[in-house]
Amino acid sequence: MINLKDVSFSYAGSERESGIKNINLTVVEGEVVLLCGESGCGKTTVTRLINGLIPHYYEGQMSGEVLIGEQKIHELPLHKTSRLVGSVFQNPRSQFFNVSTTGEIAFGCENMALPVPEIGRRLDQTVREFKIESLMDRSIFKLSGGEKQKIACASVAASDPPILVLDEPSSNLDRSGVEELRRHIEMWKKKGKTVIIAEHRLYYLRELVDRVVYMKDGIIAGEYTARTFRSLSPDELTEMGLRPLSLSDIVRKHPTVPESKETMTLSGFSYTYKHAIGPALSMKDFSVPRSAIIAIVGKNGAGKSTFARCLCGLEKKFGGRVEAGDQRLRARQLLKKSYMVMQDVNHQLFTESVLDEVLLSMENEVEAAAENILDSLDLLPLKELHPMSLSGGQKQRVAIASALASRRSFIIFDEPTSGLDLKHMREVSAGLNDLRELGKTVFIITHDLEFVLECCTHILPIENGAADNVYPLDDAGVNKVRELFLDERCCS
Amino acid sequence: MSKKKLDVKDLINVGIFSAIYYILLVVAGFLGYIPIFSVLFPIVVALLCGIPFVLFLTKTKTFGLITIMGVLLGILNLAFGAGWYSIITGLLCGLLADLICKAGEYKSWKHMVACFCVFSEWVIGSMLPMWIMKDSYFAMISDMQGAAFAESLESLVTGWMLALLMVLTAVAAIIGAYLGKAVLKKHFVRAGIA
Amino acid sequence: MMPQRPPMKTAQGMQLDPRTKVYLLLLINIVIFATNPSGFQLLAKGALAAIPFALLCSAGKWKQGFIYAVLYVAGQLAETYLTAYAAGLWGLLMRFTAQMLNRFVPIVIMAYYLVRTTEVSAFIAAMERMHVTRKIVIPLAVIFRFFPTIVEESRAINDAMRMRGIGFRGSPVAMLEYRLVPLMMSIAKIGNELSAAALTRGLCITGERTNIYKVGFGVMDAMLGLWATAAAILFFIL
Repeated sequence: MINLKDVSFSYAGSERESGIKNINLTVVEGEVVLLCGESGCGKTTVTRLINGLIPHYYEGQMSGEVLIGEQKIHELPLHKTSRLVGSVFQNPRSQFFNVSTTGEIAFGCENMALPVPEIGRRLDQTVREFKIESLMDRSIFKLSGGEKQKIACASVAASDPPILVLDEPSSNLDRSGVEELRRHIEMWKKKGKTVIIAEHRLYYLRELVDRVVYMKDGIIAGEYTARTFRSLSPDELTEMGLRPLSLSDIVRKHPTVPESKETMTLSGFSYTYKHAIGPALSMKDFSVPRSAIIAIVGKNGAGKSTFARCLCGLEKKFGGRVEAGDQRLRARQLLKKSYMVMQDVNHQLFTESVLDEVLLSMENEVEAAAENILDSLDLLPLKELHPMSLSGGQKQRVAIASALASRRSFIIFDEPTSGLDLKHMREVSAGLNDLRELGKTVFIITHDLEFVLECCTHILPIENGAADNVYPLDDAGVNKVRELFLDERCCS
Repeated sequence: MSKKKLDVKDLINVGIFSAIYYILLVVAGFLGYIPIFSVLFPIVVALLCGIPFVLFLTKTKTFGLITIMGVLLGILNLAFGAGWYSIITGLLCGLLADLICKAGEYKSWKHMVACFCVFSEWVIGSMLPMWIMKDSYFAMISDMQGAAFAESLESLVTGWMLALLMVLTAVAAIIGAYLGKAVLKKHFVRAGIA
Repeated sequence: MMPQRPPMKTAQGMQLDPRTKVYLLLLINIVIFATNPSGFQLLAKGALAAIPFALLCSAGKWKQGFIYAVLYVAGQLAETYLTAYAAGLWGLLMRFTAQMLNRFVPIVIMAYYLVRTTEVSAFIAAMERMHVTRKIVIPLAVIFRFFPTIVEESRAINDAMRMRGIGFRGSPVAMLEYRLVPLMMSIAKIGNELSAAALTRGLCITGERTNIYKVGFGVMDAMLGLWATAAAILFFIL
């Protein structure tokens, strides 16, 4: 049904993405195919060939043919391709044209000029299938990432195309969001849709895919049936640069928890947003170890972000305090003592080169010291580059470097590994270990179990704005956190 | 390379850059609270908006987009209470600016600077009532603000002043365009966005 | 997570046609920018200024409606009765404030109501009904869509600047650079992705398109339209 015949593509000029070479791929009707491989392997490019964005939107040099049935996609105008192929993208913030959820779901049908009663019928059906009654007639600016991705899936489903293309759809989702996504794909599979997914996170697709295409450096480096792919050992997957296929396969590489004698006490961590009905955060006093990497885990909306914003002093009206040694820090001092690396790291890169970015964080700008920091994070070769021209993992490390340069004591990361492949995730966790060894206390909001087991030393679970205790990630702790992750997958 | 037909991508770009432009204009508008700055408004806008406008021009290869931007900004001005003259000036300045850029095939820098100079004049549209309906306008100002203020303002509102304001706006636009180019080179080109 | 305001809901039967809202906005604009009103003209102007008040209240925004009414009346009274006595710099400031209150506030409230209660889709439908070309309608819809995005992004950048302690450092040009460059980069990126997404959803410039939002005039449209037209006519003949 889908047929890529000897397709090569390289992006024109300013696009930094890597192209593909001599791709031959056939996907039959009703098949669910996973495209995997490291960042930059070309899997996103393949999805763009199928939905027609290449060559009609992304410009470049293309040869070969892309066929869907008899239609040549590379010659068909995009609005015609859109009837055949529906697309879900990585970033839930940027794929909505409308402001209201209902308008968005109807949008594709409207563009197809379907009669209004028919659109109404499809709307009803889609809303029922996706169980999104409560999300209708809302502003997309008020939705969580998971809810947005659900609306994105529902929107393509309403147009009812025979083929669906998903480009890293789980990147910004928490575990329950991933589970919802899995159910949507399962539903499409049952309906006989052809589904093509480019993805880093593999575990949720384990039982769904019929075939796996492994790409490397722009070519297809291997094709597996679902069964042979499942039989790959965790080590083989790691060798290929892939994330694990099952959450229970993930093992802790460094089982010892480094002793940290010093602690700090957090008290009065309660916060209520203006106009909110209840408090977003109400915690008892508790203490956490210093010079540790503490994973903050919990469902979306549990209060993790609020906790982080309070901890780094961004909420001006926050009245709690942190006692560390003989210091008592309130919001105003916390703003000077802590550093948050935001989920969208792009918002906090201000200067024209990696070196300047680090210098900007220093009280006294000393170039040699800045270069030392860059060297310790393997960033020195990149020092002249513009921060925004780097990859996701590199940007995270630049943020780590400027956090180091700022000499703050607490550093908070908001989902640093969302959308990162294995290699980049490891780069980030190596950077975090450096921070810990320098005596910094690192807090990480994360949904990535593999990442937690890779570098964290303690776990701080937050539930409904409350935190019980912090436990170390020793053998018992590993079991506990794994249960937490597996458990939330099932009950959500 | 100038493309023949404008497509959805172009239209979305126009929308985005008009939104950024207008937000900067509103920021500049807050300066209007300080009496003298309300006269300098078009100059401030030209200085501030050079950055988004130059970035917009690098993404513009088709005739019509700059005109559309002028009309859109005029519509926004109308909707947010700055009178309806802006729609006319927006259309005229936009069209003229578009023609200039077309003459430079949407890649000549000199034409782009000239284009921004002409384009920036549209903002004066929101101040035109001062000149066109001079008598009634100053009767109103005099009622509202007292005769002394009206007289001091009226002495400024002459044909010469309008010409001077237009020249100053053009000069500010040149500075704004070069500021935009500098930022573009320093950031956007190196980041691979422009 | 940012504090979230609930979306503005309109009361049953108060869903105005977007064209009516645009028309009301235009009339308020024209009247308010006309010459300085006096006597009965003030009543006509007040009748127009009452429209945003009524609309706010009908949307259940009693508090905001009330604040608006107080501001408007206070501004009008101050302009009529007090400014004659005020002199000097304070007088000037007061005049400016009074003017802002009774001139710009009604327009801004009306524009706010238009933006907050109009679905982008409904707006597109209404514009197409008026035969506005899609070359204007699409970018206008994008502007609607992007104002909140720009606010969201600049808030995040502001947070980042506060945290890194670069709030007030360096020259004004550097400040402009720090604020504008990350904002524009992220907006440009969102814009590119949005374009790609819109294209895969079949948006195009030509060709037929349907719309789930039925636009059409109802009783409320007629009533408000007549009320506003009458007020505007009275304003100009009085």
